Amino acid sequence: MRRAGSGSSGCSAVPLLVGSAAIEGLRRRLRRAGRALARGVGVLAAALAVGAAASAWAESVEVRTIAQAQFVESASETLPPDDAPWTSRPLPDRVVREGKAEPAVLWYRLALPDIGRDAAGAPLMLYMQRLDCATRVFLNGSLVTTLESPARTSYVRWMRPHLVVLPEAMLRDGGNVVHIRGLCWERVTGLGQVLAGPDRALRPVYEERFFWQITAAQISTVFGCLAGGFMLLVWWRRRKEVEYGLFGAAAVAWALRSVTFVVESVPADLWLYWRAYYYATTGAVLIFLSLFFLRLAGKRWPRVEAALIAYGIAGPLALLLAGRIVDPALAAWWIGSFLAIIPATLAVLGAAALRERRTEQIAVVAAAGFALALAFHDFLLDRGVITFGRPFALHLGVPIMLLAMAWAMTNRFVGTLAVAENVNVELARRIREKEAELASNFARLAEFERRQAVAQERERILQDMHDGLGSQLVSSLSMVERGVAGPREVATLLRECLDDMRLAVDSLASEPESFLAALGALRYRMEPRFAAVGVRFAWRVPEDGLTDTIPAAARLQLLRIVQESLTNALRHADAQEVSVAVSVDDEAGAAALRIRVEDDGKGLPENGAARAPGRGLRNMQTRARRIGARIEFVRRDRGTRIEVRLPLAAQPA
Amino acid sequence: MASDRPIDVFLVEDDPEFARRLAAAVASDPGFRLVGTAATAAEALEALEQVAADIYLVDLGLPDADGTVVIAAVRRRRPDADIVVVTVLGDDPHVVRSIECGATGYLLKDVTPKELVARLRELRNGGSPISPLIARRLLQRLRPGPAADAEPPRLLSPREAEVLQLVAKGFGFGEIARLLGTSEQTIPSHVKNIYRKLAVHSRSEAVYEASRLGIIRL
Repeated sequence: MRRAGSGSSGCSAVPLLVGSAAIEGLRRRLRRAGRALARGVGVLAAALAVGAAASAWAESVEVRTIAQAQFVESASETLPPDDAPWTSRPLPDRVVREGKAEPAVLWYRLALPDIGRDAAGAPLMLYMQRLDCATRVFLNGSLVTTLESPARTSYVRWMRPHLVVLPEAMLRDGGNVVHIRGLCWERVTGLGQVLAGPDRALRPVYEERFFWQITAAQISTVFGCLAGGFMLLVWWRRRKEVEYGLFGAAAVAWALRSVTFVVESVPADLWLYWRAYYYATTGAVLIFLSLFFLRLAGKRWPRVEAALIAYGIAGPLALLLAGRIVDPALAAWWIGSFLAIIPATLAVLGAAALRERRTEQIAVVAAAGFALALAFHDFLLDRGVITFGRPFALHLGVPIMLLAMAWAMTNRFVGTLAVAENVNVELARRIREKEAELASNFARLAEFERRQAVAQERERILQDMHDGLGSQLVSSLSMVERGVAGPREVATLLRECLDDMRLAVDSLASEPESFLAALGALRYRMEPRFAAVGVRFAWRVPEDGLTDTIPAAARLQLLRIVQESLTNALRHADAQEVSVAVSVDDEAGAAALRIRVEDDGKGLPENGAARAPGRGLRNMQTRARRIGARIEFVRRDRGTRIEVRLPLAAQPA
Repeated sequence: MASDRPIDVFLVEDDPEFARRLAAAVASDPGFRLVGTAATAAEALEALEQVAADIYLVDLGLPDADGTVVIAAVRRRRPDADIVVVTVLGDDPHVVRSIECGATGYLLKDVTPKELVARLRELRNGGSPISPLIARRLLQRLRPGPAADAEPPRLLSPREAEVLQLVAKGFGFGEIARLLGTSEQTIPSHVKNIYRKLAVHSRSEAVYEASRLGIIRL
């Protein structure tokens, strides 16, 4: 990055140095981009470059860089005299205080170049890029400002730049001198780039630096908290998915670590704990990251993991136990060792990524590699290899890495959901298959049952033809052949045959309620005959009809019994009224169908059904026995009662 | 009904024995007059154009077509005529099928001549015979849902539905009239109305089915 005249050079590395308007626009855009820090690697990388470019531009116009300073280490409260051991140092100047427990007091003396008075009367400013100390600034021997009390009670480490007003009234013609006194606690300290110039030229430089060092760290903190918190929640619900937990822990640790960038001043007696906090959070970030890399690579090495965790705890613990004496070693070697540990675990992940070519792994490796480069940059900066005063960059790279990791974990999460959906689809398919199978089984079973029912029904009808119509036709035939039957008798016989056939047909109706209808149809057919001889008919059936299923085999037999009873009453009883009553009663805890046929006629012969029953009565008894019903013939004062009871219990529909 | 004019009867029957019996039965009563007979559906359809009768007796088992074809044709051509199916068994599948085509009554073939004329006269006076099994079948027809007895069929008036339900339980017209608190004479006309509605219903359903299947265009 060169200064004066580079506006026309068309520097290919930073082609943004073309004109001030373009750069103003760019900077606005960059600031927006910065606010949305998480947007991407490219923006950040460019922004880092431009941060430096902007200061180069400011320099080139009306800003003077103060490149040389005189330095002396002196605890003096007032300006060290000219004969103090001032040494000349180029700026930026890096000072390392090895192994000292007490803070050092550093003095810098700067000769302010003559940059003339601003025509608009704007104040002249002094911009200090980096100064990690509690500082006082003097102009021409008079105190201008105090940046945090220089008392020894506060540990100060400025991450922010400083912009100091050099009051007009105190400026002298022909050479001004600035003294800077710093009370420094940091092991590595010093004075970064120093610029002098008008406010309007230096303010943007200051803001730029402030944004990248402070605001970015704040954003980083918030981002880490959110991303980490979310992932920890996922892990909380899915404990087996340790990667979510590791990532969440790393992100939260990162957020906690970033706090050290934001809090720039702590009481001196808490310094040790503050430092331990820094080591603990930094170590946690790095250990959780390395564990995450291993797990994402699909490696589960319990011993390695335990060792890493122990090593992570060892750093802050050592500081707390041994005190600040070990701080330099920790800063150099413990922190430095992670520059080996992280690449090692990342290499494991990288190898897995090369092997498996999973985009989530590749993305994490790439982002982590970038962050690692930034970390290395910071390490070199701390070690003084990179110019003192360059901004720390890791807190910019880590959010990018967290983004990549978040993306990887989201990828995994979405993948899991997709798998779950596939499982559902597969499950639905299998259920459909099973359903179809079941349906076809059921259809086969139903077909089998239907065939069986048809076969049974056929058998029943055959049996019935045999017992009923067949035998009736045979006896009619024999009567006709014997010449016993005249035309009237033959007509009666044939009509009985027809009645019998109709009864058989009626009994085929198979719904539960249809038995009553079939019984009704019998009555319907017979009623004109009763009416012809002046017999009344009474019909008593349940209000709601019959809901119980009468077994198919029983239906016809019952109809026949009723038909026989009615025929008997019609022929022999000489009755005035015949009644048929149907009911379903409870009999010994089970339902029983009861059919009662009563007449008020002559009644049965004296000796009743037992000894010399008519052929009709015997037939009825046989039929009843066949279907497991009981039949009673009762002689009443006037007339006869025939009652059939059929148990209905345990009859499937 | 003009009682001084004899009731004209047309017979569609391929069994000559039954045809003769029926002719004799009708001839025995001066209130009836046999105006024609047909032994096949084709003959019947042809005669339908030339001879008008009050009652058509139709056998279902004709040699050239199903009797329901004749029934439907008569119902169209002579909407005021009574159509009676003659059947051996009086079984509900046959009878209900005929009612759906427009029949308003049925007769068993073994009916005595005396009964026959009595039935025809009843029919002409507005009554229709109905057996419990036929009533049951009609109830099922009008309510094709699974809950066959849960609600009365919408096509019928509440009174008609009640009559049909009681018939299906085996009650006679006299008992039904007593149970419903009306006169016995009103019951047969309810039954006849039910038959008519069922026929119209079935035909409109048939038309709907036919148009749905694209057989006819509305």
